[in-house]
Amino acid sequence: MKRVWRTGIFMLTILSLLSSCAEQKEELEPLQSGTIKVVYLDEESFYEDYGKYFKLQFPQIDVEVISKSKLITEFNNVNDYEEATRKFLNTYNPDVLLLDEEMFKAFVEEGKLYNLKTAIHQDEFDVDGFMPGLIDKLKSLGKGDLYGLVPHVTLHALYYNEDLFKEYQVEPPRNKMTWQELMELAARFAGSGSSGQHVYGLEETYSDPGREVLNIGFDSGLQLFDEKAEQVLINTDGWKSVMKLVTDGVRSGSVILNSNGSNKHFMNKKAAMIFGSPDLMLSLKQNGIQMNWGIVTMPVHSNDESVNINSREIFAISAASPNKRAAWELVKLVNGADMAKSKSKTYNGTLPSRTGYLKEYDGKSLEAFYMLKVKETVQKWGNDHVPESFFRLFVEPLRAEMQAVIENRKTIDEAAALLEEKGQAVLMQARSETRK
Amino acid sequence: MHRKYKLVLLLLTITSLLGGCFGGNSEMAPLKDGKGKLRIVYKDEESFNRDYGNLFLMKYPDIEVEVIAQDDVFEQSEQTSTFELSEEKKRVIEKYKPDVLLLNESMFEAFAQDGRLYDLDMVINQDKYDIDGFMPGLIDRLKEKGNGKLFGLAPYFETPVLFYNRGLFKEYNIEPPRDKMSWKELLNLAGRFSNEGVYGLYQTEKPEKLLYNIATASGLRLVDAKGEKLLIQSEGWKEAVTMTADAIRNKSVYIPEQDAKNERMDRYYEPFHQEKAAMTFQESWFTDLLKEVPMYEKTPKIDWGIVTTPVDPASPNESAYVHLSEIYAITANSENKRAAWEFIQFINGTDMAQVATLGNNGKLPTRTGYFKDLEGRSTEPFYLLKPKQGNGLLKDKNIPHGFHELFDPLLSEAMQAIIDKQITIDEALAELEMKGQQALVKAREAAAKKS
Repeated sequence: MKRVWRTGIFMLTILSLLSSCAEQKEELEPLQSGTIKVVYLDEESFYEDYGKYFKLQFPQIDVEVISKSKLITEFNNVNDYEEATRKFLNTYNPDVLLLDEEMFKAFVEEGKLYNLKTAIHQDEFDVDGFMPGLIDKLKSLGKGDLYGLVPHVTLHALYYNEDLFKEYQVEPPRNKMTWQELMELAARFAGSGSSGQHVYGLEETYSDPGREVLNIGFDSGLQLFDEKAEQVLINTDGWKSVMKLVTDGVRSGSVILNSNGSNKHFMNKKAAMIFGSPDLMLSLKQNGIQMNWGIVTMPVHSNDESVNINSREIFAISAASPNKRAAWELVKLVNGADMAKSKSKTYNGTLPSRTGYLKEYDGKSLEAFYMLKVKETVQKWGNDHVPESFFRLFVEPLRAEMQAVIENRKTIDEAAALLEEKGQAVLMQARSETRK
Repeated sequence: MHRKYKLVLLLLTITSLLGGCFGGNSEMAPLKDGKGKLRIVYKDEESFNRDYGNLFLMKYPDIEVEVIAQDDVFEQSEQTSTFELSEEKKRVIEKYKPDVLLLNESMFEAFAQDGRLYDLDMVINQDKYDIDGFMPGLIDRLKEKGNGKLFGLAPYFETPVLFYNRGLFKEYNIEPPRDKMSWKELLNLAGRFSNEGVYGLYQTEKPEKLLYNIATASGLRLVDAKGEKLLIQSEGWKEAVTMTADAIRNKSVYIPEQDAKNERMDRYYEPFHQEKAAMTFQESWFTDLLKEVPMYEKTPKIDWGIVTTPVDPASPNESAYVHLSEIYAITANSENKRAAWEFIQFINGTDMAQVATLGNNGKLPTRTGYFKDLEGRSTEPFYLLKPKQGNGLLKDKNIPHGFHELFDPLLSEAMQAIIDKQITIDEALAELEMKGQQALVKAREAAAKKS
């Protein structure tokens, strides 16, 4: 009896030891004074953006800013960006890191980041106030756990010129339209308005007929490859209908495609709609352009109403940080509700990742930016197995064939068949390049 | 029993009366539940939030700040030809009734004299607010503008310091400049470079402005206390003119070339960066240029040091070159004095001083001990001298409006003639006194007509 009891205790001890090491439950210690090292663009912008607020709340903590410009000045001999970043981080050992999605994912896998779960729970930090889907996306990058937070996001929306819609007596765009609907709406501007001047329905930047086909196709949920990315599948009804949309749009003059970033047609009121980030409304205001503009969401398709965002600034804490409490306090402040509130008062074109703070600009509702859910996982081009160089090689033939269709030198059926062949050849070429 | 009751009543009455007595200037009640609101005139809302608002919000989440955007308000009235800043500001105050004002020194003085500002002494006492932590002489300077009363506080001040190129001094075996030199000592030091093909002092002003700069340190005046008589023909002015002309003639001091449009032809302080000048007066942000210009312009990296601006040997601990461009005050008839004071005490407080210099933005907190390091150099030269009292040479209130426009061209002409030795200094000053006196009379008459 006595022995059984002893064994019991022994077992319990072992169990508790095991559990503590398996779960790695690291409750954070209370704050102690000291210095933390933080990666940021440069010292001045760090203090302007966050550092002064932090110092005001935590005067006992000094922050040493590791300027990202050192990446360029000290590691410019390294060709690969990722490798340079790693060397940079290894040299300076920051407590708080600023990572893009790819690096973030890789660092989680290598166990270099501190899991925020316990700290969030311990401090009852509000993660429900972020825009829908954002935390899920970060968790998905972190293999199910939360290793980082994002204070602001870069998003696009569809801007429209209300005055032009009135003049042409076209009902304005709606949230969550499909591309088909959007192109039909754009087409209503073809022909001349009351002033007799031609107005485009939609202006696209960094585009050409080929890229436009890809954009619309992927946005509409089409697949360009089979599952393993061994076959190119562009000779399909889906892709052909997209090719028709683009062809009709360009031919009729309802769409204008700019190869560069120029948005002059929209700015000069010669185009009724354009996609843009919040920068566009700043630039409308700064240029003193009098326009009644509005925004609606990006187009969606029926079985997916989410939007892709790419976070270039994920704040994370190094697993090796000796001062995790102070680092966490900084990450908390940067991503907190108070900061979102403050940043909304000094709006500079970045959207707070927390909803409900930046509601309007110049009297216009910004709701459309926050209406779509953030896509949880992003597969580049809808398929992970596609070699990187495929698109560089495929974009030009696609453009040339589309141009031929637009100029009536080829039918869509001919072009689609040819592109499937060319695409296949290009895919093989890309694979062999990658192998080398 | 009855009598006792009466006595108590009487005592209570007396106490309340006494309280009432002090009531006119009484203690400031604290904010109820920390809640309050205030209205401030600032450049625009966004810069306000960036400079102060967001930080204030963090510490005082329940005080609501409404910003009157000065840019917007002034933009409308600047269209009219009679725009005059301090008049316009008065109009804004009457219209929008702000609680907190941001004023420059001359406006602060005018507003304080007009009785438009609230005396802070009482609340500073009541809150035991630390005003000993400000740089020596600052509070006195502010009080001077309010006839002995403190009507406002200034979180930052501006002053140049003398930057020098350590390498050049070493190379030519010249002992480097010291703190608290006189202009005479400084120009002598600068003169020692003239044989080496290097300018001792680089500066960007024309000769007559350089003269004003030099004269400022020694407390010289252009006109008498009534603004009636020009005082240029004095020993003091003669000495200043001599020093200036000699320094320019022997090329101890650089005078920038002008193009046809009267614009300076050198860029980015070229001669200093190219090590063709040994010293220059600049504000703290010049260190940014010292860092960046070598990168962009491929000029040598300069090992620099700093010392104080020159002083008047008669008062070697005072500087005539300190400016206060941001003074915060509460309007006398504000209905939100407590909230307004919370804001003013915060932005002038130790917390704010601690965060103000983070990121090296060139700001100099008036509280000492917070800005300690400038690229590894001591910041002592910024704080070593007390700001001099008075308005200085150029902001002298006795000078009638419009005088400088008439007088400065005469002075410029005279200085050039002296430098070129076409005329002796005595002759030049005598002539200047005569023509200048006419200009003074003319300006006075014009100013009298206007008002």
